[in-house]
Amino acid sequence: MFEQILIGLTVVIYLGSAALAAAEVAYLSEVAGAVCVRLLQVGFAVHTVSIILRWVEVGRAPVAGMAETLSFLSWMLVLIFLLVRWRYQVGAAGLILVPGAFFLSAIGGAMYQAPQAVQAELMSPWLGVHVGLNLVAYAAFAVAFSMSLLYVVQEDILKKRYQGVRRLVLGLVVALGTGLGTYVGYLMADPTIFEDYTGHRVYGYSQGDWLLIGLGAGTGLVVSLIAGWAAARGAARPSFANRLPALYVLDQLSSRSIVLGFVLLGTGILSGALWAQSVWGSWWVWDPKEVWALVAWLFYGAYLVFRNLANWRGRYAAFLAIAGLFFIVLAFLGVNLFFPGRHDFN
Amino acid sequence: MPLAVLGVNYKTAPVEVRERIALSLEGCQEVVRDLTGRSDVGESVVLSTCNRTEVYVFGDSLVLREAALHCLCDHTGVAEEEITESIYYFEDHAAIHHLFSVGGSLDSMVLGEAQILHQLKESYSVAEEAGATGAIINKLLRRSFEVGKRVRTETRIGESSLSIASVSVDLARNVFGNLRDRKVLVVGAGDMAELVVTHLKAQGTSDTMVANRTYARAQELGERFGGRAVPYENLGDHLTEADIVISSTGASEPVITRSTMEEVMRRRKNRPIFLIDIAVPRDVEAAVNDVYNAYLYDIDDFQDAVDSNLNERHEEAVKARVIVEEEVEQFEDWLSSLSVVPTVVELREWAGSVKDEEVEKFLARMPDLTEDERNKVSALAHSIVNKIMHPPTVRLKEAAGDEEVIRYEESIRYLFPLNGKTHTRGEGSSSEEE
Repeated sequence: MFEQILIGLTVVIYLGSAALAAAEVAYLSEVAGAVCVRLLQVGFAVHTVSIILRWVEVGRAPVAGMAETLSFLSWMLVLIFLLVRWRYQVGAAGLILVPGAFFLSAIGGAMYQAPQAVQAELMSPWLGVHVGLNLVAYAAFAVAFSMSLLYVVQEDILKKRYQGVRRLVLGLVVALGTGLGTYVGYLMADPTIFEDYTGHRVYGYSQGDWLLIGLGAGTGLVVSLIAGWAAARGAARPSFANRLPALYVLDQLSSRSIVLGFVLLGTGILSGALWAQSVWGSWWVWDPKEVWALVAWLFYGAYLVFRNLANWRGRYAAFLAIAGLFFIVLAFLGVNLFFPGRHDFN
Repeated sequence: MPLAVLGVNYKTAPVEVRERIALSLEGCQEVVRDLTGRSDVGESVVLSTCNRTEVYVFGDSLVLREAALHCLCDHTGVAEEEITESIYYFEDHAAIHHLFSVGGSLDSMVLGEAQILHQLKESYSVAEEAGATGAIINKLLRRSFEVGKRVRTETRIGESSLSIASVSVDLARNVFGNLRDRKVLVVGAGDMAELVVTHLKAQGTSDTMVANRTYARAQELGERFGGRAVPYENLGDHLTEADIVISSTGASEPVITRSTMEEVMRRRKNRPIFLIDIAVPRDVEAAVNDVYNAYLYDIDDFQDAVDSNLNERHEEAVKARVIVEEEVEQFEDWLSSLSVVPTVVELREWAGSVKDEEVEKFLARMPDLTEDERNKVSALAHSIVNKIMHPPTVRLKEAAGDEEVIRYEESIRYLFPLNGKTHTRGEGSSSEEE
């Protein structure tokens, strides 16, 4: 119960920080920036406590099941953002990373489950190593994604392609706003959750629930269209480039994050293979999650090749980094939802 | 409250009028001396810059406008009829607001400029020297300096770049981040190009290469920048090396074409390049901006950037106006508290005189008291008077900012036998009572 309160508090704090991060850029407010960082630090501390509590409760690394992994991933995002912001002063990266942390922790919080017994295979030190490595890798790729998204916006401004800037900013704001609206709708809908005969959690939505969710999404869409239009107008001018980090910095951070993610993901997959060998007796079982993680890893490998051998620095690299996250999301979430396999531990 | 300003500025009068009504610092000093020499004007400061000439006065409200105008015209030889159309005259709240706006650079031709504060300070010190300032003007002007400082530190109104050279630096930093050790190439020559190079060097760029059709000219410029001359024929090589290129030749055809840049970009392995084309006609083909990782800005683009930055200043000006409003309110509170002080002083003086009288009478009737006992009696009386006077004193001072305070003062003057009529504000504070 206490853990749930902490999680709820964390989610609210992350939402507030996201708003402050936007205010910092929109109103050129140093105060907003300073408060945002402080608030985020407080939220991070609270979040850390909740993770430690969970760790102690379940007697293993708290990275099994969707709720735990989402929580850990969002925790990682906040940590990386704070570090990057401190080291490189790229506060604007918070425009994407902090809302990202909010959404992940919010969804994780919504999926909260009291600790239950998990399969014996999971009660192993391999869990922390394998999942931990992968999650840090995902966070690194998310950072690369954010930096690359900012890169595209900044490049459009500097190349005076203002139409493109307007579209991008509008798209971003609408995506965030609609997502937030949908989440609020979901909170109000409060569907019944029960387990079916296989032990999976199933969400039962009534018509009223769908209506609420739809209403939330719709409201989010309308409000964010208006806000996005205003933001797009404000961003599509030469002076806005001063509020975003330099192209060179964004490009460097993006590529370094990918190098880090590539190494970590590779090690993570390897550790998974070793672990599988010890419990399933086989290195590789062509489980969907394994496959898509490998595909993502190869995709980022291609990024590194193109970048260094074909000199794909700048916009092309940014597009690759943005596309790469699609594979990551697929490997992380998509397979659990659409392709159950050996990785199905819920 | 007879505080006023009379003046002309760039908004109300064209330069032909402004230049005739302008005053040097000495001229300003003469005007304030003249003005404060009159019995009905207490204090004055005159501010005269290329954009405005303003006379700030404090004195008898009936004559201020006329006196200021007369003095100004007297000292500049301009007839009053000639400038009456361009004159603005503000009193009290509006005058304070105007001065604080001026000090906060909100009334300047270039929003957020830094010079006006310096000019204000000079005008003030000249007036102070001439003995033309007193409690009110002193506080007012000093407060205006504070407003200027607050506006500059609490808002970003003066920060955005409005010149081509500083905008160039901003843009270069938006592309490259830190400019330390970045290489610069100058093609051609010119004052603007030199200015840009100077600004860039201040950010830490190294190795300034100069290319010119005339090699001797390139050498001359190279020496000036602490850089080196490079042969004009190998422009492609230099473009491959440099990160920032400033082009300012007199050529009628572009010296850098799209095809050249694409070839250069291949050799550069897509490392970004920033081109500053300040030549008219343009030196760099517009299509170069479409080349991967090449960023091109011509004169019009710089103008757009400057306009955009000016807009930002206008947005910051909103915050500045809030500061000005705050300060005006605070100053007005202070001003009204001044009128309270004489009333409070007189009330306490009266109470004190009553106490002295009664204690004297009492002690006279008790000749056998010891020294110690006499002191104790005095002390008791003193203490009682203080205790009784304390609450109304505090209340009056607290109410100093309210409009009600006049009524409190009138009530006290009605209820207690204080000397003098109800003061009109400020009279008692500038010159001595006659």
